[in-house]
Amino acid sequence: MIVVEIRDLNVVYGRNPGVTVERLTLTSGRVNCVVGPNGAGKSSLLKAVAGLLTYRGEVSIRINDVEVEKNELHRYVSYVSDIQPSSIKVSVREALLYARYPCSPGFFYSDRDFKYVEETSRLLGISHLMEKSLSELSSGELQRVLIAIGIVKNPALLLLDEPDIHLDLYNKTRLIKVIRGLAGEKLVFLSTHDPSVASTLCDRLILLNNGRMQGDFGIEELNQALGLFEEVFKTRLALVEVEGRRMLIPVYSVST
Amino acid sequence: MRSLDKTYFLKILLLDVLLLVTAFIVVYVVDFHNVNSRIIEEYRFYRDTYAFLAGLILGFSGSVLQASLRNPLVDHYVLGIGSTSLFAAYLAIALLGSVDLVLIAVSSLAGGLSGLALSLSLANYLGGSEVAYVLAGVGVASLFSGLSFILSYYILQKQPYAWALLLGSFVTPLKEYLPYLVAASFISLIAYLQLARKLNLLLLGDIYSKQLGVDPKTTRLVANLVAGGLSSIVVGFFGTIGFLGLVAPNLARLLFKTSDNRVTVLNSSILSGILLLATDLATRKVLVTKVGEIPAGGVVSAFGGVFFLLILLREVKSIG
Repeated sequence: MIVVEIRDLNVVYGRNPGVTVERLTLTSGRVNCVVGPNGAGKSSLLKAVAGLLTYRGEVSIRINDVEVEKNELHRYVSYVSDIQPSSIKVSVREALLYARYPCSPGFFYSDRDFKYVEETSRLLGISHLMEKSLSELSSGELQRVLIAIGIVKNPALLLLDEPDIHLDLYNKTRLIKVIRGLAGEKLVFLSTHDPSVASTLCDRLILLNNGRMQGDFGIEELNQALGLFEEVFKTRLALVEVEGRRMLIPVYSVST
Repeated sequence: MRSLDKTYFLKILLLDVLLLVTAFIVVYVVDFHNVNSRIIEEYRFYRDTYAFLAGLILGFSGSVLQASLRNPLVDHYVLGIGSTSLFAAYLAIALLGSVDLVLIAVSSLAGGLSGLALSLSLANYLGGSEVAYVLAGVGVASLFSGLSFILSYYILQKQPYAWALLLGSFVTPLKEYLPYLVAASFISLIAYLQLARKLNLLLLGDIYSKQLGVDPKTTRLVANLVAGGLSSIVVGFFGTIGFLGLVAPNLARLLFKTSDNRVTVLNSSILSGILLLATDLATRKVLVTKVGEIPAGGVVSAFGGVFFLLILLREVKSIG
């Protein structure tokens, strides 16, 4: 059981007004997400949990009731965001081996490193891309490779910053399957600005707007949240049920 | 059973040893076979050793600078370290009137690191793209090589080889250089073992390197200081040897088909050492009979420049 507890968090990043979260507890076993329009502060929240930003307040991560020390964060937490591939070409296999660094910081890679790289690539369906360089991949391929880079060190906490961005429908569907599969043993916390992705993929939705939490809903409570979502996204939304699952979809009618 | 990675590395090391032994045999046959004068033997020993070690250090610096700045177009020369450290060394000779080795080492070190800081801040101001680094470096480099050129006239009496050093030459292999170069090579070796894997993480970008436990800013600072400092001292002694540090890492990446700095930095250093030694040997043995003593740095720059243009074209094409 992995638990993230956030208390009195305040992040000020750049010129944005900053993110304030008074109290939030996340647990493993289901997909958690923070959803909100552009500039709501989703990335800042994720980065603060990953320890990549300085913040005031408290973020504690416990794995089976043992607290993770701040200087051990890099071993247990991964934050997956867009990458700017370097013009020195790095192949997918190399990138995955490099990302094993927290587990084997010595000069040589261990055979376990190679084994983990193989297993991770099979899990994400990127085995055929291993010799390609990061700059040659399509958006869908790159997104899966980035998640592989994030999980190859076997973290307890996986933070995904807008993983659905730039993906077409086919790749979004694949991504959703992959993320659902990972959420079993890891705590998955992702951000998205798309309410339909949030409701299809996630079991718990935290609504963020202008740096403040507007609500915290389980997927089964979505019907109470519809009005709030419409207000925050300034868009008419419909709650529909498909194959037993409730989803929020935008209504792009001309009259609104 | 030995692990996969160690076996792979052992093969690379064997290849390197083979290369070095070949180089050693060639040098022995060309330079030391049937030589009866102790003085000539000694001169050649120091000259060959220095050419190799200088090349080694420049190849090391080039590969470290490229990895830390994620830019295959840079080396000590392109970033202006070459001309600023030479300028500082000449300035110290002109002002203090002595050619003391400690003085040259310290002044070129200070000059080279300030030059690096200047080009890097200019490049960041220009937006920090790959080409920005080249442009800022070229600006700094031409400014200070012009100034060095002017100063070289002034100090010709104290340093009669000041002209040769503008391009880089091993015509004056003073015995006293040896401890400096051995120490510099030793520092390269330690930095290589400590930094290689961290530099790999820098290739993934700052956000990824930080969450994998390697602080990108500190690592970059240490890498640039070591690479900039060591190449400055080589330049203070032997002059600006252009483009070698740029070609060698790219050559290593091409030959071994990897971006892994454990492989790149090692082989860039060794290839660069052998290349510079071979060039110096060739200019000394072949060209000297036709046109006289040509600085090895000049020949290296001429070939390296072509290679630089090829990589520049490839990079600019892939951006546009």
